Amino acid sequence: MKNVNGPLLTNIYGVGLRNVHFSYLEQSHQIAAGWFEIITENFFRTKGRPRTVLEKLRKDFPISCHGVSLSIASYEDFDWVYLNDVKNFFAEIEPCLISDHLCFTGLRQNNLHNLLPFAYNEENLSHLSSRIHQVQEFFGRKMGFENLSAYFDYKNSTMTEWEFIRELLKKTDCNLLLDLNNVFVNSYNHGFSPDDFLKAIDFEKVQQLHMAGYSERENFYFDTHSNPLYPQLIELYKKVIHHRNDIPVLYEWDEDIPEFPVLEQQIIKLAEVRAELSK
Amino acid sequence: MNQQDFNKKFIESIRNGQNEEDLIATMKNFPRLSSSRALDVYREDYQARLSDALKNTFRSVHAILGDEEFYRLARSYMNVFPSTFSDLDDYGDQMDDFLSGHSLEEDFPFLSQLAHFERMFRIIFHSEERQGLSVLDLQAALTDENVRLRLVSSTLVLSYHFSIEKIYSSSLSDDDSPFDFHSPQNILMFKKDGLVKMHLLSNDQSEMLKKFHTPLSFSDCIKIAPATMTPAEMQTLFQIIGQEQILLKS
Repeated sequence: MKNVNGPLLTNIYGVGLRNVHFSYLEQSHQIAAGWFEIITENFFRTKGRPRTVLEKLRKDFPISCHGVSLSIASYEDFDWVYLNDVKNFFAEIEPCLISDHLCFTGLRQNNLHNLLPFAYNEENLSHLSSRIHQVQEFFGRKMGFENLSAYFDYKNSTMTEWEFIRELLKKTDCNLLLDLNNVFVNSYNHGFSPDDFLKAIDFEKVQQLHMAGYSERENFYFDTHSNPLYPQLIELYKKVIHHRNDIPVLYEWDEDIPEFPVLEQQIIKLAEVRAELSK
Repeated sequence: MNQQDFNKKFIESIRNGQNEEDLIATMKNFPRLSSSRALDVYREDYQARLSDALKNTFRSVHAILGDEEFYRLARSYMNVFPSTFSDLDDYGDQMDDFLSGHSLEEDFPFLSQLAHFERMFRIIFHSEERQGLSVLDLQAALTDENVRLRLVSSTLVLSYHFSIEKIYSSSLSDDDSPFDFHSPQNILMFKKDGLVKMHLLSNDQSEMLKKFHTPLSFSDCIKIAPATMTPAEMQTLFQIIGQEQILLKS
């Protein structure tokens, strides 16, 4: 499978494009972000304002498309109408990166709109490998698949999450969208060291990083994308930089979304961390 | 239990609480989060996501009902209509049918029609903006017997038994002055300059404009114009058509 991802991101720090920021972005402010990521499903069928704003932005910024409804771990056939529309959308938008999640999202007639975990075992490794091959063939390019935040595991998992991902990356030629927030949240909730996760990853196959702020619930962490960077996330990012320092980084904020400059402050902080380590 | 069976049972459990014991037997407990609590987390998240999607589309219905009643409505809607959409924002396409005859209409008899209006608003918002004939081109087209005209696709002509546009705008503003919501309303809804815009129409204007959903020549249109339509109404209607550029040559 060809890697047609590009153009090269010169400013590796991006943010998620959300409609509450449309007016701000349309006023042509100086933007610290080097690129934007969209939720594919929020844009691929609209011809309204979201699409108009996207068309303006893509003249000046690379756009990555991040899907939430592929349901790669489902045991139903793909929704080919959906896939076809997404493929046509990619042809129009020419995203620099495309991605979705390592999860199932429900059934075709009952989409839970959540990113649901599956058992990390040989059966699912083989199943996902075949589906990833199928969907990459259809799109004609490599995809990145994001590790989840999950609130349970299965008794019939025979591997850890990172062992499964390592094997999946070996078995297929897809990339990893490494969500550091999800690694951290899972490590806290499930009781493992995030270092074990990072050690297992082939960083040459990481096409981008996601970072976000979780929230606290009772005695566990919940992946809400609703807060600024936590120091623990910065520490994890430093560890990634030791492996590879040119991976595109995206900051996501989806609940209680602040003014755009607050979002920019997060990526500026990350860029400063990287610059400091490069001295 | 294999993954395929688990997926089905998990979804049933999230939607209606079934199969919990079967699922828990398959799930691994974590020190910080029991399997039972994990199921609750996903269940709460499911309800919150779909309710918020409905709230985004039906802002006015939400404003009128308030949080508690709206979320009760959302949960009962979810029980009947699972999402079949890839984009969560599309969820709620049956809401006006669902509200028709609902007990909430005892207090708010306009609720189903208001939900319909909000759904139509969303459709026009996401539609591709099409520009129809300018005033000059329209004048030329009206005199040509061979030219047939139709409404541009980003235009709707809506008729309601209640003052839906007034209910909608006052529910989303600070204006709480009382008004009679029982007056029927005809609304021309269209897209211009990237915005959803509206004009109120009389019954006759609305009836006549609806005929342009299928292509018509001007003379056909005059022939089938409602007998009660006054010249002033006709003139105003064609002023709106020209000014808003909502007719195209077919």
